[in-house]
Amino acid sequence: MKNLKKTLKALPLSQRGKKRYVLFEIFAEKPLSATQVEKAVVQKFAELFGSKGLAEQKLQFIGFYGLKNQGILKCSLEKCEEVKAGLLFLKSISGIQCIPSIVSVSGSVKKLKELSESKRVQNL
Amino acid sequence: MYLDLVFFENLADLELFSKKFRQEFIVCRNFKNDFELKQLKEKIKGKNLKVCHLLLNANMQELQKFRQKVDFIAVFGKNLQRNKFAVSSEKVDFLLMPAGNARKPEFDAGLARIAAENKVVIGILFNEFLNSNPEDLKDLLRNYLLVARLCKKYKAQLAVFSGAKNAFDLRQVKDFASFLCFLGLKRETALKQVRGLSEFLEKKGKLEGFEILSNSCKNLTTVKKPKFFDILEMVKS
Repeated sequence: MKNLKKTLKALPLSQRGKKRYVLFEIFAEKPLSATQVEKAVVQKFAELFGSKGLAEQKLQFIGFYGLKNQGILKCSLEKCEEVKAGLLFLKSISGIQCIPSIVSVSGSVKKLKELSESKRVQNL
Repeated sequence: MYLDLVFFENLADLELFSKKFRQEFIVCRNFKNDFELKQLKEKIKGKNLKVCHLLLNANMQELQKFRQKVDFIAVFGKNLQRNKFAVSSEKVDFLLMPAGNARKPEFDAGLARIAAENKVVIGILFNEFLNSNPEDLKDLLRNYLLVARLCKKYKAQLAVFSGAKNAFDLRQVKDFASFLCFLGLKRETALKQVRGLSEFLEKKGKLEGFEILSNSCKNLTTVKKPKFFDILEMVKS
């Protein structure tokens, strides 16, 4: 038992599968927090697609920027359209009625953050 | 240009979301008489809104009466008789919700084929999906997976509208392409269906007046309210 590995070898990039980041915007009556949005999204997706669907989508909540009311979701490329459709089913978040809308989809977070910034400047 | 069909007339909300979502709205309502229609037309005067009369039963007289007065005619489906009536008449523009959540969908291959022949748009109201409980949603999705498949096979024009009864039911029409993917269409087909609706209605002669920017005829950059076929001939020549 001498040569026991302490850490697992990192999965090669080619084995991880392609991912996409979805930038979405939520129009709501009151400001929302990241926790509220994440909880509502996961709950709705679990209701729509089930646990298996969620696992296949590899859904990951990257962040929600309350000031801009915009958030970023990470998902697998194959299930990107499913994720976009699922977001449309969001009706209320913690009892606050809302209107979700998809702003853009990209392969990198950096691009989406830039886009989000530029949109904010345009709105100002 | 994206078109969305709604069932409410709050002008402030409609104008706000028209700008935000970059889409136009069709206000759909079942008008009891001419007075109601006149009132609505006065209310929306000068606004970029279109009016649609909703038929709740297969009534040819009602269809004839409102045909010239409104921009579009829609028939609410969920019933075999109404579905048959809607797809068999070229005067009808939209057949909304051809199937409900019943075990037996009231829509079949024959109806899809006739709808494609008569250029009737099969409209899906997202509002029905949004506001249904999980059990009904499952049945609705089952029926609409079939509707989408039949429309794809017989090349009938599919459209997804928000069908909102208040501002919170509104969604961006552009995003409905992913909903069509969810219903089993390929991404390209779904995008084509969503983007091609206005062109489809233009061809039917329902939407008139658009700009051509052609290098060959620089002096004719803007054409005032031309008909689609006139432009087509002009471009060809």
